[in-house]
Amino acid sequence: MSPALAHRGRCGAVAGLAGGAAFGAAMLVLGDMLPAIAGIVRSDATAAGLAVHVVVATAIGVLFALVTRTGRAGTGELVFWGVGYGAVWWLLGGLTLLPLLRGEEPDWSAAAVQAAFPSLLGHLSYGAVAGATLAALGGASPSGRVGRGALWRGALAGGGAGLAVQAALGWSGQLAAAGLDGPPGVRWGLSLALGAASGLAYAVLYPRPRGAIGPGLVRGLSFGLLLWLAIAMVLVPAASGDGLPWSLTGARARAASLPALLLGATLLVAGYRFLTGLVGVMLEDDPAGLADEGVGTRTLRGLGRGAVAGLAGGLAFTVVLAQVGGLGRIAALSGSSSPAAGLAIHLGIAVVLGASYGVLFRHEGGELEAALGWGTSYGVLWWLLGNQTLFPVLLGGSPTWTAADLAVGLPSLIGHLAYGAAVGLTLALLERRSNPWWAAATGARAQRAQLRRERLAATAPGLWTMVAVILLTILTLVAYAPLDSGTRSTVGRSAGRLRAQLPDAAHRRRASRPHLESPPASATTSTPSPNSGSHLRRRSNGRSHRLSRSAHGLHGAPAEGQTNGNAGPTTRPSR
Amino acid sequence: MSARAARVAAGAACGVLAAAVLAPLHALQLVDVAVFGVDPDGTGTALWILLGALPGVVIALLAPSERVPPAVPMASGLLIGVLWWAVWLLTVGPSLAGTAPSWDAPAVSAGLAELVADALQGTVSGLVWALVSRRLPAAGSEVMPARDLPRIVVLGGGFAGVAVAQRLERLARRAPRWDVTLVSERNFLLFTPMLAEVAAGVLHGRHVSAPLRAACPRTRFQRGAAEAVDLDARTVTIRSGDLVRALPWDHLVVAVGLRPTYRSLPGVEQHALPLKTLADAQSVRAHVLARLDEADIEADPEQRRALLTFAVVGGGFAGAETVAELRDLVHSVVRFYPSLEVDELRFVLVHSRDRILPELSAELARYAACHLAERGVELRLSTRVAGVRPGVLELDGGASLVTWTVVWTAGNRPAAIVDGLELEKGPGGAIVVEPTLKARGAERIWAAGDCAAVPDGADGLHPPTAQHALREGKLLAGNLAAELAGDAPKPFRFTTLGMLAALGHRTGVAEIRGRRFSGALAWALWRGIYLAKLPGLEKKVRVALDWTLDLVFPRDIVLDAEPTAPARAELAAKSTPP
Repeated sequence: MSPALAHRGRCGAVAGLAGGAAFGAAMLVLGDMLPAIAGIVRSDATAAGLAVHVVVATAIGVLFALVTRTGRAGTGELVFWGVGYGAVWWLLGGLTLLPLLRGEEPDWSAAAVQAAFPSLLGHLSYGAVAGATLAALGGASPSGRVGRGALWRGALAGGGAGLAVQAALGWSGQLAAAGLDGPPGVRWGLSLALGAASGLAYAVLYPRPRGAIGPGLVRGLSFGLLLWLAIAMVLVPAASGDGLPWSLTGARARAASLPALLLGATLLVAGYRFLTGLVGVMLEDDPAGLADEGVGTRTLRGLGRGAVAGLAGGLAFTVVLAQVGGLGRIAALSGSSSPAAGLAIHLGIAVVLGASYGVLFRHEGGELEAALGWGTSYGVLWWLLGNQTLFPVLLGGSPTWTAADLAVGLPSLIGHLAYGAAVGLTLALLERRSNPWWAAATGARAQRAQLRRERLAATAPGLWTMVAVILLTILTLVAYAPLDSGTRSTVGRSAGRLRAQLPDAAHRRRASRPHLESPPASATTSTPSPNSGSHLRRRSNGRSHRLSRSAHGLHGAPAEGQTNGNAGPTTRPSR
Repeated sequence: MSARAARVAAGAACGVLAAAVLAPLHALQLVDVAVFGVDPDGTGTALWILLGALPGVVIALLAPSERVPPAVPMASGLLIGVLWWAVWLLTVGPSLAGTAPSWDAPAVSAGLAELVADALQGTVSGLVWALVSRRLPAAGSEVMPARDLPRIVVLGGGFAGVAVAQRLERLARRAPRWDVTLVSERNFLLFTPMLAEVAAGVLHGRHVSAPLRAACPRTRFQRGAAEAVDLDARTVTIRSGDLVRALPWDHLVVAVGLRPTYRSLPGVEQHALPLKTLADAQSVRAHVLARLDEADIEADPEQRRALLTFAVVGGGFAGAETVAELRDLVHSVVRFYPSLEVDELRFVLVHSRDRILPELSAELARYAACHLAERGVELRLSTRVAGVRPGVLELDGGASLVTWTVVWTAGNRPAAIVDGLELEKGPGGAIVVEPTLKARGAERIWAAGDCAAVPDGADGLHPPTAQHALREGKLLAGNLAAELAGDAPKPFRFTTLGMLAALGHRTGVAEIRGRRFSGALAWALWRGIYLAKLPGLEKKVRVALDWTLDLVFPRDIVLDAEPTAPARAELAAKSTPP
């Protein structure tokens, strides 16, 4: 083994230890996770569990350092890689290997997965801390000294974003649903301070924005998940003496903070990029460093090709809309209920957003892999910003960020993913048709193209992983089973049922508004579903049984005290 | 097996392998048995293993060809696994089973186990791919052309030459297949249909010119004149200023276009103004404005008449458009010259045939002639030029026209390099080519554009227009690539789409697919179609802005090019004994 590899392995061990300490501390607070881990050594003692945990955390920290050794990831990127790595270990370790090592069968059922939600948050925390520690130990590409200007810009953009999040939550009456309720002075001051601190952290992690603006926005979305973990799941609850609300029930009660912070961080990054670009244009830009094309050509080409790509994405999204009957809902934007009007508006929006994608992500999606990654990331961003925020606001309501609202928006999330993937791939194919930038003819251009590729390989997949983690988190957080297996709900019916099931004060307040009102659970009718409980059976120990209401703690409206939220017959402690 | 097919097969194998590894765990979970209505005992997991090939293929197809850290394909695999779950479990699977897909919360909840399985399968597939792909051949590397690639030299930076270079770039966009060098005296592609508007000051010269280095970024470019071709040694001699060098080629494409010919008429080359290049157009504009300056201070009525008479020789598209645009230019700026009267202005179009615009139908030609005549342009039809003297345009039959401005658009012939080529020549000296655009009797020489006599399959030749040159260039590149690959070339087949001519001041004539247009509609078609054809988005925007500004602001009379010698100086030089 080379000395460099050995050194990186040692750094990885320290990083894993640091991450394990963070996760271990959380488990000590949460209480019942360490004994489950101790089951690996056939014990149920907390100390034994902690010891096993530390050993495992150190070992996979070494592995983390090794799998990221040839990349050119900077500090911030390494943190994202760490979070993604943590999510993979939640799937592989928490949900799979831990039960196996305990001599049990792994259980990936909805009940078990949702019961393991605290474990998911713990693994994400582990990854974030491990990544940051590895970067601090020199495991990341040097990103240069963080200038005072970058810190000021970060604080300014972060403070503004914090106030915007506070205003949006307050205006929509979702402060309680975000777990950020309190006296106005405290709330505003806390938002400003946390926002500024977040901006400073962002400036330290990503002092020099590189590449187009679009990937920056996805970086903001990813940074938002870190903020959600740190602020909504740790700092604010700890400050208010609530402990760690990492159970499914606890997280659902604060679910509005997730889209709020995801969008807030995106706003932070947009502001930071704007301020940095402004400084660059006014004070720093050198014509020698300008791109091959002027901004006018670049923008016009991006708009045109993006619009075509947006149309392709809109058509892909239409499949979902037509299936769930969403066209009439979109038509409400023009005061109509006609599906034709809805289709026209939908395609119009799709073209506009596609054009914006063409500008924001131009020259970033040369490889189809990158096109798919950026496209779906943009789709997730617009699901949060468009479907869950702007759309209800344009209809006269307020942002729909609660767990119940997010659950109602799941079909739209699938549509946005289809839209984003189609837009990204179509734009990449359009860009490939004429003078692909990545096919360089000269040495200098080849060198630039190679640098761009290396940057892409070092940073972009980490961001796509973060988007996948965001999807996993949201799907695990808001998915719920029907009241009785063998039934199927349409979106509206699901909304009504879910709102009846989820304890959501903020939502109940808005339920009185006619335009957002959903039929009460009792008024809904059910039709047989081929895709929900009836055709999905769990086979365990040779016995098949239907997923039943009892398997989902959600339907039993578990109390906050239930650590795993979804305790039921099939639920086992899981790391 | 091609490199791409090998990667796809390897991707599928990676996906299946990853699924097989996870299969025992998957078998303990939810099995989507309803998708195909199969038996729940094990069949669902077997199906899941087989379907695991698909995300594996997606990973392989989307992965970059160069080596990346294992974390990269693992990250992509995680995302692809989540997307695959949404595509298959929630959408395609139920649809294939004949039931409506559902994406609501109960469906997502019921599919969470599959989400875990697919996310893990995608991640593991990415890891396996990272290990396997290192042993696979690259699907195509994008590096500089190697020296041992076939050398293709394209002579001429006009429509045909640029089309050849661009098509060759596109055909080799994923991997270098040839080394292409484009040789042109100018470093830009001139959009000749708008040349008359440059001469009239409507458009800026740079706005109708596309830089060749930007238009063909992956083609080597050499600015210089081709002086001689050695068919035996396969070299072409290029002169760039004082530097002369021989450029070797394996295939030579001749697309040098046309140059004006004066048919040995006395004084025409010395005293007439050609209109073939950008410099010509700028020179015509400067010449006209200089004559107006001189006329403004000229007291002699005879001299004023000569200075204010503008003659254009040639009644084809170039001549008709030029005389119309010059008339608009002079009329729009004459108010800046206080001593000049509109009545003093005279515009003459001299044409050897009995009607102008012979390429168009007689009806449209008649319309154009009437329109020009109504706007004060004198048409001298069935009249040939006998020669040009300073201040005098001599016509056949002993007639003459007193004018200091003679614009020559009456004849063209292939560029000089073509004359020296030992190849079969057609009418006017153009290179005779086969329908495949290979020079007749030559093995490695191709020709396209105005300098090529391209048979139209009906005992005639295709006309020398830009629309033909563009398509000939594309086909030539395809045929060249086919020959290099050992495939059969295709013959050139193209029917003229249409002809358009602008007659100044929002009037034009057009014949498109047999349909005739005239007046403002034809003018709008002219502008719209040629704007769309103008190469380069930036140039399109600039020309559109030029046109828009021309609607609301007067023409500029700034002399930004050196005008020809003042009329009096020419006369004085003539009268001075040697």
